[in-house]
Amino acid sequence: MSFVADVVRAARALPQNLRHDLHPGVSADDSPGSRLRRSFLYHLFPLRVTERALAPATTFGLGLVSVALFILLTVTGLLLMFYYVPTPRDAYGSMLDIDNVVTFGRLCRRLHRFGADLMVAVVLLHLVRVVAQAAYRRRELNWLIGLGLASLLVGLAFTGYLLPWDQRSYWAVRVVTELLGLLPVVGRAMQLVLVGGAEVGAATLSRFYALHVALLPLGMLGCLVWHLWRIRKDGGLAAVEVDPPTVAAWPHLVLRVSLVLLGTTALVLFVALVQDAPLAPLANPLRPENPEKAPWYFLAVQEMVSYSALTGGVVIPVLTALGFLALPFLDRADLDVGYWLGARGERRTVLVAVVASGVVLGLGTVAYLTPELGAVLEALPPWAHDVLNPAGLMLCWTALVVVGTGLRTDAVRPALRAGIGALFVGLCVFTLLGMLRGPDWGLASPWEAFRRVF
Amino acid sequence: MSFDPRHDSRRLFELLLLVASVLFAGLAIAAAQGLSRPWKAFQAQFVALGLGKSEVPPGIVEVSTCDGDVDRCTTCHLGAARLDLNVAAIGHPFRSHRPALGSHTPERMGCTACHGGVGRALDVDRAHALAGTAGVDPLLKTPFVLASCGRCHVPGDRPGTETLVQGALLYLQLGCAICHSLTAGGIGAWDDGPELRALGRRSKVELETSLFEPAADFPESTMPSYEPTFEGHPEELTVLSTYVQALTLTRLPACATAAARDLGALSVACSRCHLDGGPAAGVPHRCSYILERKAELRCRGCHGAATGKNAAQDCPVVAAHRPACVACHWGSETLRR
Amino acid sequence: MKKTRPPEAASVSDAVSRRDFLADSGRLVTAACLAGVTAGAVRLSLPDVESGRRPRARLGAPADFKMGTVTWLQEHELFVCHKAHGFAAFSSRCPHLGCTVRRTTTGFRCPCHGARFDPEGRVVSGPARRALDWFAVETGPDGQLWVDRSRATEPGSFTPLRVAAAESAG
Repeated sequence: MSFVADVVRAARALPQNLRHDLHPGVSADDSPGSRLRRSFLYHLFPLRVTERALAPATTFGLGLVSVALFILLTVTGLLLMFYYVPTPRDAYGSMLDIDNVVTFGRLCRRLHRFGADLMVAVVLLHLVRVVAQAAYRRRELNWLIGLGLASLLVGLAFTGYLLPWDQRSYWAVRVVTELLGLLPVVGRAMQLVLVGGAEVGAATLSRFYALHVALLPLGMLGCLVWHLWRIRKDGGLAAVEVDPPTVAAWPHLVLRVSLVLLGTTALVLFVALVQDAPLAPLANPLRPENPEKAPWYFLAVQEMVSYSALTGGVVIPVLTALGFLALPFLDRADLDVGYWLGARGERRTVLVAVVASGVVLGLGTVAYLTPELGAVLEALPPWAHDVLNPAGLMLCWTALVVVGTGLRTDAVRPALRAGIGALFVGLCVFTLLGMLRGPDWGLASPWEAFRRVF
Repeated sequence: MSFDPRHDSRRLFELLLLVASVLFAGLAIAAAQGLSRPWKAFQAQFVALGLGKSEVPPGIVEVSTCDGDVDRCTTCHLGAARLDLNVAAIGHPFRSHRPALGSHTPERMGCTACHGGVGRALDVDRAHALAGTAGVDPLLKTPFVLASCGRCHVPGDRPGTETLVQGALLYLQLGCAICHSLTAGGIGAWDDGPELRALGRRSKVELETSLFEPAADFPESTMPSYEPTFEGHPEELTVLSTYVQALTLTRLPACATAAARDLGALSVACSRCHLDGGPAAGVPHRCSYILERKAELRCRGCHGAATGKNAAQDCPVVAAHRPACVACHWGSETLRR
Repeated sequence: MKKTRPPEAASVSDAVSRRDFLADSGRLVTAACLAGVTAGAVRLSLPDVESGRRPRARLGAPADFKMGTVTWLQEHELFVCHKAHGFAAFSSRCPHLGCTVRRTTTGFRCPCHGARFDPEGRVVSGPARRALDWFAVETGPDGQLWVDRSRATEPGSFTPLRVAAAESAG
């Protein structure tokens, strides 16, 4: 009967064996903290981190917030996929069902929508932070991966924008795919690949859905892991200190990471509790929205394109993309890497450049919109329209700022920073202006624009 | 460096507990919101009144619409389908439906095809859409529910659409058509007013305001006040309002075809040109406007037997009458071009 | 300026116990949040409406079904039977595992696992444990034939309809 005895013994020892077998290398009397550290978190975090990396003002945790949002978006997105039907006939109805009869469906959609909007904003700020700290130095590869992540994110946000198949999304996608077609060489092909036919329709929805739920998220996950791994490989946050003071990752880093993850989720949750995710009426290809507006992160481009398709839709986006790609290869200085805006004198120069850009571009745009100047410009030959507009002004002004700051400080980094600052201010001006656009692309009062959005 | 992570971390345990608790509270609120079922209260009330067939509330009730969509209105409006009960005295939301118009039974049509609103929604505000998300058809109350006839029917095409015909005639007679075209781009010489179909959904009050005090909403408007016109004719105001509301309603061609197939009867507007006996001579045009101008519109007089489909687009006679045609046929893409 | 830290040795036990308590509570609440989210996700996955087939469906005009025939309505997965004593409708779904049964000379047979039924749907042989489902038939206010799946009836129970009588008389 030794078989029975063996079974009884095995059953008795089951709890202990389970504990041992599922935590290899951990003894039973370890504290939970050390067990975690040894088993799982050990691989996620370094054992020790610099004190500076933990200070809130070093990074504001923007990268981590993006990771938290990525997790939130993945979870809510998967849940939404249970109910969403990606065909023009059923998509809108399934959106209404998610909002109206699916338990927690409305909450889920709001979390997904606001999480996505927040993620675009946070990733943009993360990019600004990296530029302002010159943290791309000696992390050139990770800078490029980061740019890839940002473009994947924009792709995700944009492909997700079509899925509700309502008037707003339909016409926004019509506008943006037309914009894509303006790009030189690859534009037409990209447009065809995305739209899948002559008109935005069933093929487009299928393609956007496949991109949104499979291709882009997988690419993003891969790049995200690569991005985080590169941070470890590059020795943590950018800093040039020799032998900086460090602390143990547990509990100091783990606590802060948990705090950011929970805090971000709580923030989006509370927005989702009070604010409704927008859903316009069913898409109607025969009845255009007036105005047809792109989502907010494309508004600046749409505004610029309303001045000149060539300058706003091709020249500025392409130059901006090339500039960002080349950034760590243009700026070779190692001084002050990882610190906000470097030396005091440099800070002032950049600040002056940014404020001056605000004044120049703001006034220039207002002047452009006055009927008097409009009449003068109207009389000029067509090629002049591509240059003599706010987008052209921004382009020239940015070039001027870069050269001016460079000559004044005799350094590359402040020149680049001032240029990016000028560009950023200009894009903000155009985004705001785009938000104020009303029917027939005329300007509406801020109150009217606000009422249209909410 | 005043920041000290070792000291700070103690505080962080408290902060973490606080944030986790806030998140938990948020989730609790979300759970309460997500699990609330306002319609259950109505069903309980209905059962409590002793009107239900059984003691058990029916849950979410769905009706297929003629457009292949789903209406859930009868989840709360439980009396609507109960013609056997005299629940009129009980009032909303349990009032029974009035006798339906001909073949337009709720079982064939659903609810929203005529009454507007969002059929899939289950809470009062969203379903009735009275707060008005721009472009969504809000609930149409009597007598404006007649505007819905224009979703499928050309005014004048069958009995019951008289209100819309009267509205179209008012639109022409009062001169609305001179400034407000129904076609993109417009036709009239003084084409200053916005295209009526592009105006979007307007409530009765909004329509009255824009007729009586046009400058109230649009200070630069040059439109005169139409208050004197309607003095003593409130019914005409209602007719015109119904007509203007009809112009902006979503068209439901699938319903029209489904109904036509079911009835085995097609209502054709071909008689617009084929007045003197063509393929569709058997179907008389009910439009009094055309019947009065029979002689002018007799296409074959000019075109002979070769009257093609596109003849109407190039014909100067038709072009001259187009605003009048569009007043009823605003849904026809050929005419709107 | 450096903050004065609490003297390490004096408050170690206090600080540790307090910290452990906070840490454990934090973990507990976080775990509760996760559990709540998981429960919510499961609840979300359970559909609140089973869209698709409605309990009541219109079968067609009574005259469409000839006397003494059994008609298969594919889109409703129903057999409609018209006999002298009235109309009946029963499911074409095999009660075993839901395949669609086929008509044979002796009744019905399920192609998936070989269950056999008599002409009124009662089990003759095979893995099926009960007869094909019979549903109540009625005429709607439009004079058409309707089936109500929420009301099951006994196999062999026909609904005598006045329309049917008029039809056969005519």
